[in-house]
Amino acid sequence: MSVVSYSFLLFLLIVCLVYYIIPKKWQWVVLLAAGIVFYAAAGVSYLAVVGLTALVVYGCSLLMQKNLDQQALLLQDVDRKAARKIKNEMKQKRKRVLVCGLIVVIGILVLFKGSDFLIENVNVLLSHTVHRQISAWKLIAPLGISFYSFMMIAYLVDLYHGKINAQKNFLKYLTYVLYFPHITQGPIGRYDPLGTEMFAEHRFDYDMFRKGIWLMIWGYFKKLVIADRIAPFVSTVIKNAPDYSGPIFLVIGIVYSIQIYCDFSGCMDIVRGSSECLGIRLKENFRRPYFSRNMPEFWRRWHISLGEFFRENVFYPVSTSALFLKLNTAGRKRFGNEWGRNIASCLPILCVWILTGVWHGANWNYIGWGVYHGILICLSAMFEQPIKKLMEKAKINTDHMAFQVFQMLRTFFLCLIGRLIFLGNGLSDSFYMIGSAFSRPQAAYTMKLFVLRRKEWAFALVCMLLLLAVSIAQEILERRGINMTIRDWLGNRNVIFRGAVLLAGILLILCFGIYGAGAGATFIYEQF
Amino acid sequence: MSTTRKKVLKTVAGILIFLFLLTTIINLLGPLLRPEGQDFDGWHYFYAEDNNTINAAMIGSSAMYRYWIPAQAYEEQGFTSVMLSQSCQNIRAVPYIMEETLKSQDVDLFVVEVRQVVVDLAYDDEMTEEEKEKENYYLSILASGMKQSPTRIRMIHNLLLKTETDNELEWQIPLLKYHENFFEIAREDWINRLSEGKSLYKGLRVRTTVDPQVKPSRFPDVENATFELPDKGKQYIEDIVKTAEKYGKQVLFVATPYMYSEARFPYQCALNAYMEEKGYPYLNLDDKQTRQIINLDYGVDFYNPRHVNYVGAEKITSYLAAYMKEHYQFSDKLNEKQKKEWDHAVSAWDKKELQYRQEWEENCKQASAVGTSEE
Repeated sequence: MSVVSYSFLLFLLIVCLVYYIIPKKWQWVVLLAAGIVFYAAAGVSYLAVVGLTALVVYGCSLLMQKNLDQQALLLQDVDRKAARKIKNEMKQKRKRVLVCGLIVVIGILVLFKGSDFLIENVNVLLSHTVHRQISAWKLIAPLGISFYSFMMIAYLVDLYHGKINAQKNFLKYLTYVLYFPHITQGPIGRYDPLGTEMFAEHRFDYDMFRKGIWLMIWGYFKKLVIADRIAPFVSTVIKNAPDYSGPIFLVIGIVYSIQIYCDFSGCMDIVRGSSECLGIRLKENFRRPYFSRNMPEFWRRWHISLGEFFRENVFYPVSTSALFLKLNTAGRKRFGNEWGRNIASCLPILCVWILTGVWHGANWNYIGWGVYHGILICLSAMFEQPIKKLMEKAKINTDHMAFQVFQMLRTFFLCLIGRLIFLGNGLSDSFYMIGSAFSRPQAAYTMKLFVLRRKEWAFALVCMLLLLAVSIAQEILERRGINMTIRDWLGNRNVIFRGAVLLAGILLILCFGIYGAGAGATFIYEQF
Repeated sequence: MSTTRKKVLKTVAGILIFLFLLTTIINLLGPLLRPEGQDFDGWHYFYAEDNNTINAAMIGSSAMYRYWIPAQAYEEQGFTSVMLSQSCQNIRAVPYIMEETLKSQDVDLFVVEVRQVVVDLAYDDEMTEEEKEKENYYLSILASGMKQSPTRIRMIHNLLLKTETDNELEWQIPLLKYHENFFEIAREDWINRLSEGKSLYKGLRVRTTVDPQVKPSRFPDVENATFELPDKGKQYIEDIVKTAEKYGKQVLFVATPYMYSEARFPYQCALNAYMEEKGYPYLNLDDKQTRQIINLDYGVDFYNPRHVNYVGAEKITSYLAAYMKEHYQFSDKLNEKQKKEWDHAVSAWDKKELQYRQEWEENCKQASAVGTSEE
């Protein structure tokens, strides 16, 4: 069931009604039932896969919790030295359980998402030998497997570190996993505080409910009116990239950047909005990423939950590992303190980014994209101080708005190149598009090349400008330290103004959105 | 009343007003976004007519709108009529059309062309997906311009065929189905849709092309009936009769002449026999006596085997209008301003007729030249 379908709206309405009518101690049961129905709509067999994986994780979590409880008992009235020894021993035992759990979760993820890619590449090697090629398994991945797998991993890791207590009720744990707003596209939630909030009793809060609706409307506007309107242009050109040449690829990069932002953040708004209708807040996953002044900032604003996951579960463990410490020491000896540290830090950064690429899919374009961003982040870290010194020497005011705008445009341009790597049908297509983008076109461009009619482009442009205006307003509020969102601002306006804005928003979506029979609206990130 | 209670009531009232505004706008936008084309404009012209100014509602498929000239009927017999006919109009939709008509026009007579009974019966019972989609397309011609109402809701619910692409919710809320037309509709058409939109020629839809036909060797006279009209066909007629009785209105069934295919001929005979047997008010414009009076020239009065051109339509209109005037009472519904409007329609038609006459004569020459060269 897609969140942009009529059935989802009806489903949400029914869930909300039942959720607030029944006794509050059973509200979590409604969420569980809703999650099962929502997920089963995609296929009952997939529900079985999620359920089994959740059962394994649940079993591991109980073992780890038992270990933690034992540890707590053993640590009573012992000295520091003994306590350290006990903690290490118990941690080792917990680690074994953690590893088993991770093997199952990651194994299932790799099986569904990566098996064909691995087979394809093994076959490339085998083609040079006498051995027979392996036939692809063509497994269809369960919906949202990348998202819920990472949630399960985060849960196990947090439990391993003793940051949370295990959920002892399997059905409640399943409720958390199958929570329908976030299961297909995230955000990748952490058990704390989401788990606690999910099982608390929720009275109907009209203010939160209506703000949830407003957020959903904003999400539908971004997704259906902007993203899906401009999508045909991108898909037509990308499908036949070698037939095009010249700056049209720059235009594609810009348009796709807007499309993917509106598509993904639009979905997040719908998901968060629908969760707020149930009184449960989900973390923001996008914070106006195109206002970023450098790549590290961009990745703190784009798909925030994924960035946090990789930071905590890949970057920190790798950068505190024995290997990294050895590299760090060797690097400092060779290149000096600063450069040595920077070069050594490239290892965990590249690990994170290769995995980020692989997470999107087992495809050389995604891996290439990950490596590209990894290199950019490494370069950003390495040259941050030298560039800062250069700016100071040149007496350039880096806080001036003009300079900040320059930085934002620069960051956007770097992302644009990344998008072309991401989009290509194979790396050769991507390199062709990037190379051709800065050359002269082989033939003059006509309106037909841009797929959409003039009217549609004009309309899309107006909507993008509206999005930009709202985003600028939000950014200004945040930079001024004003703890108020656009929704809060709207909530403080008079009822007629609010009603007019809401009416206009809904009518814009109904009149100009891409939806309905034949529209086939899907989300870009749903495939991951 | 406590403050909280007042607040709750205020909120509920606000939500209801908001929902009312939203649904009103959605309902208004739906017909406005109907696809382009004369077929889709029928209801627009109907709603544009002043209330209770129409004497006769002409219902049917192209078997009606290609055969009837409203301005001519007014000029010759002094009664007004409105075209409520579209391509391949579903015969099962007729009761709903009658219901919708009576909401704004207290007509004296419904005239229902029954060719679609025969077309429907001659079709296979098992429809392919493509045929269902086609049937639904014809329903969309009828439904898209219709105002939102329980009549429309029931009509769609009962007549829409289940296909992979047709979602009933989108049909019931036309804005959902036709919103993409915002970018399709031309500027001039927008102006037309937003303006008053009364049809200058009162729904005229005739053609001037000529396709010579061979006069049929046999006609669907009652004595040629070889079987009884199937129950399905009887039900169609009964439903229309019941609807007319329910609203206390008279209905005249009409069959217009065309080249009967092998498949349709026996059903046409069966229908004619059934109508005679039941004694329903039925005018078969192709029966022995009538066709001699109308005297269609098969060489020049048709533009294709199933429809007459404007010359044939003039002959049919002349006869049918005289018949209606003779057999039915038409009340005087027009004030001075409205009479002027219809007089204006007549003058417009007279001017148009001269142009059509020229075109038709030219087409006759071409048709006869082609005929000669083929010989």
